[in-house]
Amino acid sequence: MEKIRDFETTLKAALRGEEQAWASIYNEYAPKVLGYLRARMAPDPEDLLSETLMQVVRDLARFKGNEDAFRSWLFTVAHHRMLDDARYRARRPQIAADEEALAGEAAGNAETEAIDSLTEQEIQTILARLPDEQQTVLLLRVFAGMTAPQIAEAMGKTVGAVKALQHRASQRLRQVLGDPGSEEAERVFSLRGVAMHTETT
Amino acid sequence: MKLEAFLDSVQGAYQRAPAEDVARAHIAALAEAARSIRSEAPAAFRKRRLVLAIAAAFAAVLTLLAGLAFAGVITWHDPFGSLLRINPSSQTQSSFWREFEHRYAIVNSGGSIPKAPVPNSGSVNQARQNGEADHGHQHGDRPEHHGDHANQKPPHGDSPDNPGGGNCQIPNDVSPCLPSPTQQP
Repeated sequence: MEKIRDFETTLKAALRGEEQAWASIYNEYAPKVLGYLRARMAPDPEDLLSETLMQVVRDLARFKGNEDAFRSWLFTVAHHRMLDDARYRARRPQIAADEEALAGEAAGNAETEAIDSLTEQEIQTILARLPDEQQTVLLLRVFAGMTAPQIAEAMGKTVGAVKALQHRASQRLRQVLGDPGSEEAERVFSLRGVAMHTETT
Repeated sequence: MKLEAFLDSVQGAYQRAPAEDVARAHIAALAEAARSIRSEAPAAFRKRRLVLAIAAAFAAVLTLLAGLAFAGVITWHDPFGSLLRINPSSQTQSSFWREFEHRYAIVNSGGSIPKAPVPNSGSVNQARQNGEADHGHQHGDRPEHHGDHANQKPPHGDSPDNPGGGNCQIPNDVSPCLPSPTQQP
């Protein structure tokens, strides 16, 4: 994972409301958070990103920690926002105007995203074979590079449960992709800065 | 397809920066919100400090009172607890205050107040004081039951070996018992 140069200074400047500092944080993390939200098929990922960052602004004065902790906190907020949004949408059926607006937007972007959407469809089909919690663990690993304890905190689970979920997710994906044994899968995770079973922190 | 390639493609497919105009608007809004929160913070801090100071002062006063009470410097009397048993509606105001002064004097002298009569029993109490029997009859009583039962059995609360000794209805009550209806003046 890339890091912001002199993170502490950037954070202090962000607390003072300096636009440059926020641009630095935004450019580093917004694409990753947006990627996570898109991969989880959040209905309005950019809106959720905006809400997530606004909550970060509100609570930033109380934040203490380094950049790793900040990234973990940011994705935890995004994850919770996404769950809140899903619950809200489950309670309130979408109104027709929303659907029309979305349909119009989709038509407008269709040409530019034609190639990507095919890939996304394939990826989504594969990801959809994983249960919801396994998807969460896998995607937090991929987009945020969060450790098992960090994911456990974000999901409100034990570290052991998160490791088990991750193990099952990699096994399942390996089966779907026709990948060789689990050792290979674990090597792939570790190459991406994601240790699986040996990780203790 | 290998897992590594798949994870790469996941990241590649979804991880895109927001549109430039959206990003600019977001960044400006974030910086503005941070400045706004920063300007509001001192006022909020002052308010919180004031609330804490009031709470601390209140707690200190309570602690002081508790300490004084524990040391015996101040005591707490509750004469109204016993006064509540008087039914003011059955008495004139002046007799109410006479009763109040009487009971307050008993409490202050370390005694305890006898059990109060049941509500709306002023006439019965008066009858007791006049030495009449407490019939306790209600409408529907048979006529032959009217009369003075005092000679047949001891009144309620009387001890069997001390009939007419008093109307002690509370076993552990150390207060002087009320005169029994059978006791003649």
